[in-house]
Amino acid sequence: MSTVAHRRRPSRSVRWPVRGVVANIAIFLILFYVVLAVLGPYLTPFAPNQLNVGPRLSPPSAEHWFGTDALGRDQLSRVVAAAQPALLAAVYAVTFALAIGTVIGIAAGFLGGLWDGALSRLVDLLFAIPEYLLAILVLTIMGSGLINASVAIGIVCIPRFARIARGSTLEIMGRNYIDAARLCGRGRIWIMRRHILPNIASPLVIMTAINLSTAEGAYAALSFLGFGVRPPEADYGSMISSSQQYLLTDPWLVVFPSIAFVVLVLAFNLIGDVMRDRLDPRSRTSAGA
Amino acid sequence: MLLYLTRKLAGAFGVLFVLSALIFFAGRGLVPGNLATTLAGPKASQEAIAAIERELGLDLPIYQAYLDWLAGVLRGDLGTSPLSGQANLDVIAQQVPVSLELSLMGLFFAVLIGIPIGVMAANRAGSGTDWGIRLPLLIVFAFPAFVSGSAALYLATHYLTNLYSPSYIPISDNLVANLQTMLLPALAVGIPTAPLVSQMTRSSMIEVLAQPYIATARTNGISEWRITYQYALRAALPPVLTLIGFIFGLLVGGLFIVEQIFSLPGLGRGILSAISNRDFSQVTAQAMVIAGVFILGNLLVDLALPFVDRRILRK
Amino acid sequence: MTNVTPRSDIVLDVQDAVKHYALRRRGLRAPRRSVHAVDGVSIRLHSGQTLGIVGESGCGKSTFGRLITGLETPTSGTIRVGAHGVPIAAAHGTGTVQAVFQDPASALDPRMTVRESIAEALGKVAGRERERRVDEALAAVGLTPEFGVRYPHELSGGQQQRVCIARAIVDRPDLILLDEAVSSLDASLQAQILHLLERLQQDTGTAYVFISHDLRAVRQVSHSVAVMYLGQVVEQAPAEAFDRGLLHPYAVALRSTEPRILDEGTEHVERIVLTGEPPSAVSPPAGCRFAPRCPIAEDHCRSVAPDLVEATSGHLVRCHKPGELTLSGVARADAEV
Repeated sequence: MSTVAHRRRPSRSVRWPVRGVVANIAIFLILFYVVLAVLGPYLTPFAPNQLNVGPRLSPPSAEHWFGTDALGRDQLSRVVAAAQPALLAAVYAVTFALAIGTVIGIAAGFLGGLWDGALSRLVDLLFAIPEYLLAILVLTIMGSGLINASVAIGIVCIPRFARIARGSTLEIMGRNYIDAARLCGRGRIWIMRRHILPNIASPLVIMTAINLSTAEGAYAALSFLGFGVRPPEADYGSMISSSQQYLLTDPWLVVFPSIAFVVLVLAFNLIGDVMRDRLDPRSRTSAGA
Repeated sequence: MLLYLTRKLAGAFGVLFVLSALIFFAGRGLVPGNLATTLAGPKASQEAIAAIERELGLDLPIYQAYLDWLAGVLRGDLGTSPLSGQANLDVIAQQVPVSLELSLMGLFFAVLIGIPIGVMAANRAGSGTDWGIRLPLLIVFAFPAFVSGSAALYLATHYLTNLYSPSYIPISDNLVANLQTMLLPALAVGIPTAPLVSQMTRSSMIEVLAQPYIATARTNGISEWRITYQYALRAALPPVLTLIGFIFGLLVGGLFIVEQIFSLPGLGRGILSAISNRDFSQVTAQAMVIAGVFILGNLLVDLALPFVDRRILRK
Repeated sequence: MTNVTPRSDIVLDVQDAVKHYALRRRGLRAPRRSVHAVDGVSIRLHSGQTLGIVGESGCGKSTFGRLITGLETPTSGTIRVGAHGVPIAAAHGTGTVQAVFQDPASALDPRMTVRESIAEALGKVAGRERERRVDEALAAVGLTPEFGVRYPHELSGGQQQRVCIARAIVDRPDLILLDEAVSSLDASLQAQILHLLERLQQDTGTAYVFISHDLRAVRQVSHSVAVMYLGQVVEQAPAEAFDRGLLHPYAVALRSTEPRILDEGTEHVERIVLTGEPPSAVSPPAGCRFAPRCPIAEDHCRSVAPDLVEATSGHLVRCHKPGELTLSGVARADAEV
């Protein structure tokens, strides 16, 4: 009756799931953007929406590092200011999808039968619609804007969360400790709260990380198409789209917001990719990298 | 097989039906005020407005209007735009070939680039090379279509002027001229999608390569190349194939953006301009066509799956 | 045991329990079919007694276990549990029936400490009393209090199973289902756990339903044993009858395949190896369900299904030719076939 050798840390909390150089770089980059988003207004040399702070369409210079746009606004200030809507949109969208998707998924997996049938159909239906078409349709009904675009992206992401929540719930439901809890007279709420939620938390956390990058890219694309925050507020997508006409003559107008945005998405992608390995144990062979 | 087919078909029609309602109400939501008042102009009389309302079916209760519209769609009548006076079907018939060509070429590039890279990464899973392959892919993946598209357009107009011609020429008129226009947009759609394909190929391949029968094949002295491409890849393909249905959805997103950047007269650009014109009739028609083609594509993938993996039928 | 006059200490009374599972259709025109997992089982059990249930995998013994715990609802039939004979549907979740499952790792929530898992059965008890009861249960299964703060992955398989038993006994149930409760443990641990279970039964008077494919383990702890085949009880007898004489050919065959230690018995026993798989529970054979594999089956057996009848006092058998196949008489039976 000796204790088994491998005593690990109690696994009550979700363990910090990313380690390694790549993940550290990614986390550092995201923290950098968070700082920009929070402190942006105090850091920028000019007010991001103020017109004619310099000559129009001036190339990068000592005074305007990233140049100025067609309205004479300081491009650097705008790139910094755009970090806020970009991060907020991703966080709003994923939070929305996580909340609704998890509820749908757990309900479907736990209640089973007709509920499962109906909820799974609903999720399949959402999943069967091309993502951008769905988002654009939702936005034509609701109108554009940061919150609305986030909700539209959130709706698109719901099926992913619902599916993983349902699958994990079903897996947990097959464990004998659920039977044991039922025999102990524990009700549905107790079982969901004490057994199912803690045990499906890690795949959901991983899904959240993966979807942050999707949501980020989707928001910028919607903003590019004119569904994001309303002008004159700075936003990567709309900055890039309004600079399209200057692409051939003043490429820096496209280059700087593109770089800022690509680095942000890359950071999210890196974390998502490391997380995906954790979610999918079959490909875990390289998870430590 | 028959049951499988019936299930899939019923599912596809169900989705299309619900989607049609969503699309219709989204289209109606486009019109902020009274469309008839807008159309008739500011000085129109009450009678004129009422006449337009009757003509457009705006006086009917909305479910009635929806059913009428749905019946029209089922007959293949997608309506006429009250703004331009053109039959929507004619407009769409011009746009569909552009978008279809763009997405098929994009898909082709995504698969052509994605699968070999995924196989390579799977063979070297866990090693430095694995990350050496994946990291650049992730970087490529981080370039959304509107950034890579802009870059491609810049390159094309500055350096590759022979390769690229900016005005769209139908494929039936001149194949070479057509490809000249479409090649770069297709790459702009396909390259950012390739990492998805290779990711799926990689994880699916890793799973297959760990199977005992692969080890058996190795001990039997079958060459590594044959094991990888003939045995493992075949077994690893079904999940990748399912993903292609999903990618089709992403490509639709690519259409919206890449057509915009390259000024291609396709469905994606068409629907966006219809939205900004608040032409609800045309938006609903175009959205229905996109949804229909997308669902048809997915259905085809579903129907192709049993030929790759017979086990699907038994599930 | 049915001839014993019903007393008030009956803690499990099953009348003609049936459980069918509907299957998905295979083709467009294929009929809807169902698996007959449990097909008319009637059983009674007194407090302080152990009923063993043996059979091959797929014979419906685990489904039967889920029925008597209320985890599944029977398609038809009645199941009453506890001293007051409450229908299981009403008793489910009141702590009247508890269970210990085969795989202890899956029966304990990895994110709950041992104390939390055991206390889960004490929904109505709070505060210090609750802590005291948990300590008691830990001690009863031979674990020191310090195990209480550990997580399941920090325990060995035997320790995990002890925790499961502690959880099952802590609220003093009338009946505990032991579904392959020792099958995943190695031989010396099996003996320990079986001994523990016997001791607990003597202390508390709890009745056990002990389900296993392992006839030896079942015999060791049971007062009476039921043999199941394709959803039906084919033979039910007091434990002693298992040493003296079994009547159903399937039970005899099962007994003959039991591994024996050389000096356990002097008589030479032929192993009766059954050919073929058990027929599908989706479409059971028309006559005796065992006939397709029975070494002594006749035409009559294949067309007419036998009833479960009392052969000798307390010894029930479902066979047209009970006792014709015996352990020593296999050679003769083979010669006749």
